[in-house]
Amino acid sequence: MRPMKEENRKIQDSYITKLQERVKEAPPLSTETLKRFSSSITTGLLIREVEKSLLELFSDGKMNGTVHTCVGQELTGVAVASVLSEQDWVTSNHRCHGHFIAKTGRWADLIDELLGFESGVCKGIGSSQHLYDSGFLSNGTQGSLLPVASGIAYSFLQDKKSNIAVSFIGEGTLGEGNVYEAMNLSAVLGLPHLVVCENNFYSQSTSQADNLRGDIMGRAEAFGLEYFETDTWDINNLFEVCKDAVAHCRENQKPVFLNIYTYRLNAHSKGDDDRDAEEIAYFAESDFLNQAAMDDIFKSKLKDIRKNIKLHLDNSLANGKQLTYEDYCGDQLPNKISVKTVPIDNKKAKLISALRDAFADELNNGRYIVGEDIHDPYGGAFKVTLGLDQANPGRVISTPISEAAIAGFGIGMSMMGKKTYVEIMFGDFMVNAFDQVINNASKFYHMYAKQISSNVTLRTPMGGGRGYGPTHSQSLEKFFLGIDNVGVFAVSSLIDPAKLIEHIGQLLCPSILIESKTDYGSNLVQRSTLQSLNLDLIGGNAGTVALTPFAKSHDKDAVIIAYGRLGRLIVDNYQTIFKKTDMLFDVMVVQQLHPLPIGHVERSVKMAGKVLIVEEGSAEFGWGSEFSYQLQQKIPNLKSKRIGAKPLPIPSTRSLEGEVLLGVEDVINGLLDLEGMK
Amino acid sequence: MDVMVPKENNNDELVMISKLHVKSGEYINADQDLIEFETSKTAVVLTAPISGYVKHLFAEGDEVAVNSVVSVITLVEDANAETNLNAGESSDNPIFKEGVSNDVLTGENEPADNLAVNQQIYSEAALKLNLPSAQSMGKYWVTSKILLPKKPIDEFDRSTSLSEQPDLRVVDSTADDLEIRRTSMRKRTEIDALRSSGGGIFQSTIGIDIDVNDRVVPHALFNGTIQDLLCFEASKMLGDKFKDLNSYYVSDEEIVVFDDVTAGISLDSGGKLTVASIPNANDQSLSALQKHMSDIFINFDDGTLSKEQLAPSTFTISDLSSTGVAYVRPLLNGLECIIIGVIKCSASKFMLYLSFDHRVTEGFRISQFLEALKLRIESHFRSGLQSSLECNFCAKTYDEELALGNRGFLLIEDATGTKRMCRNCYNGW
Repeated sequence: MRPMKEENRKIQDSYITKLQERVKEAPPLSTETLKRFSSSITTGLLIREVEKSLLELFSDGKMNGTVHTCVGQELTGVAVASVLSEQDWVTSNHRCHGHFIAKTGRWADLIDELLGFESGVCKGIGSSQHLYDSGFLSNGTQGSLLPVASGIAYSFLQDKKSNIAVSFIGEGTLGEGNVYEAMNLSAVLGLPHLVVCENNFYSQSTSQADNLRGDIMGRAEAFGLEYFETDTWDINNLFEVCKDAVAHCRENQKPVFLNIYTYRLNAHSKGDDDRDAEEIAYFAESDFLNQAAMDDIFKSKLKDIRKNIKLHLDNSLANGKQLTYEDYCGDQLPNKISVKTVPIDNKKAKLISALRDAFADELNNGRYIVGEDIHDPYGGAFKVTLGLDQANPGRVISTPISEAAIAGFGIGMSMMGKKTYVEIMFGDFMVNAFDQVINNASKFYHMYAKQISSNVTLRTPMGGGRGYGPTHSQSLEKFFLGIDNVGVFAVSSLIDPAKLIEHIGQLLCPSILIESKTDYGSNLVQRSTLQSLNLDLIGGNAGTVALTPFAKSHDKDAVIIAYGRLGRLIVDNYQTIFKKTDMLFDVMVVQQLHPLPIGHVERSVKMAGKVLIVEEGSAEFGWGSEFSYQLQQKIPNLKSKRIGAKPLPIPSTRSLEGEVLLGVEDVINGLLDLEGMK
Repeated sequence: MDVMVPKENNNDELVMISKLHVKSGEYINADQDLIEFETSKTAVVLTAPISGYVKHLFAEGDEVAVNSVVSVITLVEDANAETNLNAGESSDNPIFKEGVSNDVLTGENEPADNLAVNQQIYSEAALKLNLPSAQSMGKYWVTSKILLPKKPIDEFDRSTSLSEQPDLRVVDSTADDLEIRRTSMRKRTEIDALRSSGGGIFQSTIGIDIDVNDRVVPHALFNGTIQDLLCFEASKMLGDKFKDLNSYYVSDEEIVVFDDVTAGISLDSGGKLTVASIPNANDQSLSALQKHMSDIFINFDDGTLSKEQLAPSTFTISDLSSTGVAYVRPLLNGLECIIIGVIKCSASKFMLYLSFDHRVTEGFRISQFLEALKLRIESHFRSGLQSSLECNFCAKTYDEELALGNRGFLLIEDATGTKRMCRNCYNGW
């Protein structure tokens, strides 16, 4: 145990004492109780035996990875699951075996999963902590599934179902922000979300007294959650309270907090348990299941359980196959995105109203938009959603200021078939949602063995130029590139985003849509205007847009590749750039940033032999670097250069901001450098 | 009917047109060979799906996307279909049709017909050049590069490109393609005499004029120069009747004579004097030579001349037609016998100044070479005298036949007698 301050040691001791008092207050075992809860007790024993056999397999070296057994806590999962239906959803954490077996009954598949076999719950990919079944999912990061559960709960409301979403946490998880964001969100939106806290007074190697201040009930009530409390020693009370909590949640469609006192009998994971040995012994002896196991009926049930487990084990160990790499591979990214080489004739509208129209279509197709302050009449910080709420009531959801939670919410909604666009008000705040993107949205498809995916889209305006300062002006797209199974897109006022949004709407994978503050107000470029300037605009739908001068291929010197606002900037300043650099070039404005649409630009780049790649954020380790590399692989002797903003926070003063951000001068210099390359 | 580029394998997204069997504007029968492609693995021949008039959207050597439209066959003759393709310019027709998705953007386009002609846009550097506007005719966007076309120029002394491989040729030649000849006693005496004349100069130069009749201008690579014709004819001669000049001095006793002619083209755009080469120049057709030359110019500009293109040459051409100079005495470029400098006196008159190694040959022989060369080059421009010649099958005139890059008519003998036939008609058989 970690050495504790004297006062904390005292507090922890008082906790344990209170716990022991609960044990003593629990009514003694009676035959009636044993009969009444016979099947639940059997399930509890089954869970315990499975956990034990897993630990054995680990010590025998037959199992790989890690495990966090729930020995001592089994009844929490059993009790809650006993009042859940198959259509209710459960999210769990690293200590999920009990919850999983209680909810789904698939103990044999769980063992196979940890053994790493294809017959496992997730074909051996996720192992202990990453399980999935219809109605259940678990992940190894503390608390980050809570907002996802909120999203799932909201989907029930939308379908007018009476199902609920249940999130299991430990009391240690109460250190994570996601928990509070989710509780607040579920309370604000009025969601049938039940948070079950398995309060075992220890987090890994740290006592609760060292980790938690204030009390748990206070936390729940602070968010207006109805609070319930019970323990795993008084079994009658446990099942009754669980039933009440679930019923309250289901009937009132309001979030509920259920605090279950319990005690973990084994170590946190597989290592040594260095809690006080006497304390552990006390709880082991008074453990309900241990006591029930002494009864003859359960003794024989135990024998059966053990026999079944052994039988299954023997069979699996003998015949189990591992998933091959080929079967594991493959993602849902739009690796081949088609481009139509047709002239682009945009309607006469501003980019923002074209975006709005596109989202209105999405809403009409059953999609949702979630974000902060996006309701009418305010319509969002940049007014993208203005009017959409009124036109599609119930589909435009304004939320509290919780980027992580609303991202998770969107993930949960999308997972249940209600594709959601999550608006992150400023691109700078996207990083609050990073965990949700990386550990949830990105991973679901692969770690759950392609059984489920979440096609949430996070959309956000990036970019500076308004003097908003360092944390309201950033272009952070490069940090979101190359995340497994997450596509990245960018709109530009060069082309009506309708087709791009339609394309995104049909994707199965999660995605990120980059919009631009300063480009919102631009009129969609008109081909006639361009043609009077000796330029043409072709390409598009959801693919790349090419701005080309009227000229023969062999008169062209270079290709510029850009996206978003910078694409528009370069087009608007084409003549200036041409005159100053003495170079004729195509401008390829891509709408899909990841995966890179190499095929769209390959031919032009090959013919020109020189390419300048332009990005909004800083260039080092960015999009341009990757694009440049991939083009070099395909086109030998290619001269390439990538430019971006300076690697500095973006200042607010006009002139300084202009120095840091990329402008026309930088493009000119970039081209001149490129020309000079041998 | 659209003719699509076939997808032959899963790897290729682009294939190259290696041969257009039928020209644009011509009539083709169904199942006749239409286009030949080179994929990454093999050559594929596409036959015409229907009979009709062909309109190609691309030229030989172009790369086209798989599953894209490469040609169109119409049932009615399209008067504008015949594209007078200049080798060296890639096809510039738009490849997009409404709704055709081919996943490749090329950025090639032409302004719509109904637009008023827009003003030209000059870059600052182009403006500074202050050149007459006629030089940018037909261009919407004018850079300085467009105004200054690529020229193979130059003034040079010892080329540096061969200095890395001074003795290579003797060492790496196989026995098959060269011949070592012994020098006659008379020649050896002459060489001695030259050597002892103080200064040891062995190079001499003889000039001849080429008078070009510009009434009929054949396919030339560069408007106003004869470099391609010169290369073509000189190579043919060096490979046939003047093989002795396709050689170099080894010692007083021996010279090396090559079977094949590798033509060297001298290039300089300022401090970059290089001689690029075309192998087997004596075996190539005029258009193939022109293609090689244009490749060389492009690669030279890019700095991407390949190893093959920098292989040693057996004779060199140094074209100064684009400059205003009146005389050149080119210096031999390493291990060779002749180098031909070209000067332009006027739009229709050129001077060839040929420097040669006096240890290998002498003035009389060179004069014979130059006189024959002059006749052959001038024959490309001949007109008037023989314009009454016609193809007996399609009535194409001799001038027209030359304009298509062919050398004249074929004589066909059939049951009804001997007739003249143009190449188009011949290929149709």
